[in-house]
Amino acid sequence: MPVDAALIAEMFQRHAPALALYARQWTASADDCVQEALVELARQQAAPDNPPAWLYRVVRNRAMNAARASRRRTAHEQAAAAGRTQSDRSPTDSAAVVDLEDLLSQLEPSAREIVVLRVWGGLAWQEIAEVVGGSKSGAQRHYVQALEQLRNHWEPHSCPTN
Amino acid sequence: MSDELRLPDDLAACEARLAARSPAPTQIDRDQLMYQAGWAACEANQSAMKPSLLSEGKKGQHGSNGGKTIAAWSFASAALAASLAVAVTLHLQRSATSTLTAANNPDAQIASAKNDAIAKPGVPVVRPTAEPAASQNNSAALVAAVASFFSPPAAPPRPNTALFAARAISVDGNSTDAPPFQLTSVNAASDAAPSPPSKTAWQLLDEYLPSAKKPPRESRFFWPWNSASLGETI
Repeated sequence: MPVDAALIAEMFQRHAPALALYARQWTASADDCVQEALVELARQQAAPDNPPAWLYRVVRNRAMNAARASRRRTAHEQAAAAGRTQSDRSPTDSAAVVDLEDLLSQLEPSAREIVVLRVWGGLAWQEIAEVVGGSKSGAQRHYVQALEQLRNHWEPHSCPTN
Repeated sequence: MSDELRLPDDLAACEARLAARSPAPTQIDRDQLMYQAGWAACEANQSAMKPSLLSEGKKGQHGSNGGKTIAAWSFASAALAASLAVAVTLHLQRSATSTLTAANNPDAQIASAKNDAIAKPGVPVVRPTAEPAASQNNSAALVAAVASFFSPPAAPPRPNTALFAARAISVDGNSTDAPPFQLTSVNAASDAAPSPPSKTAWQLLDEYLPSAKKPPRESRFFWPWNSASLGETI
């Protein structure tokens, strides 16, 4: 399948928000990472076998690189970046969206990315293992632990409601 | 764990609730993204075409006759032109060498033909007196004809003409046998016989070697000096 404008548009429409949520785990410039990943997809001579998995992998690498670049700055700039992270949320964002961000921030980094990849990315367990660089069984274990943590955080014996 | 993860009911419900929440929309401008993606795709295609044009034997896309092919054709043309120039130069040198060799041969009639063509008053001319063998006559005549073809009729006297005459004179003076050539002095004012009209190489070949296979008269190649009188060229 060649990389054409239709594929780029489809990936943007279906996966851009989840990709940004995935990148926001590491960096505040999540939208930039997503846009760069989509442009990089357009540069490919042939479409990857699984474009969503490919995009998540690229976004992860770019977000991590951006995080490393931001850590090299001075302490004052890092504090300012943290303040910008919180203010990046648009005032028009719904409370549910804000709550989702806070909810995921309570998870371990490895568990958080697995939850995002599984719940909103729709990736298979083998693809998740390849993206995070672990095994399939380890990804499943982290996922179950993350769900249990979220369940216990909301209410010890019930699931969170909207 | 199995490939298909089976969650307990409570965890499955939590998973469903999470999936029901939508992540925040991005601030990415779709039009700007598509514009950048189009540019990136064009740049990637151009960069992919350049290596294909420069690589040997690699099948390229549209415009495969790239830089290397053009350079190869240029080199081949230059090499062909150089080889033709060398071949022509060597051919001329061989002809001059064969002319010199035939002149040193007493049985050859080349001296007579050359001296007749460039006769000078007061210079002894070597003329053949004895009839050579029939088999040698044709080859010698052919050599003489080729020599006369390459020697211009109106050319100034060659420096080695006197040398041929001197060698002929020395042969005549030292040998007791009848000299193959008899010296006669050419006096243009008195007894100078009119030289026979010069013949072209084609005429001589037709005359002496009628059965020989002759190359085509018309050259396949277009020589610039063969252009029409009006200056028409290719």
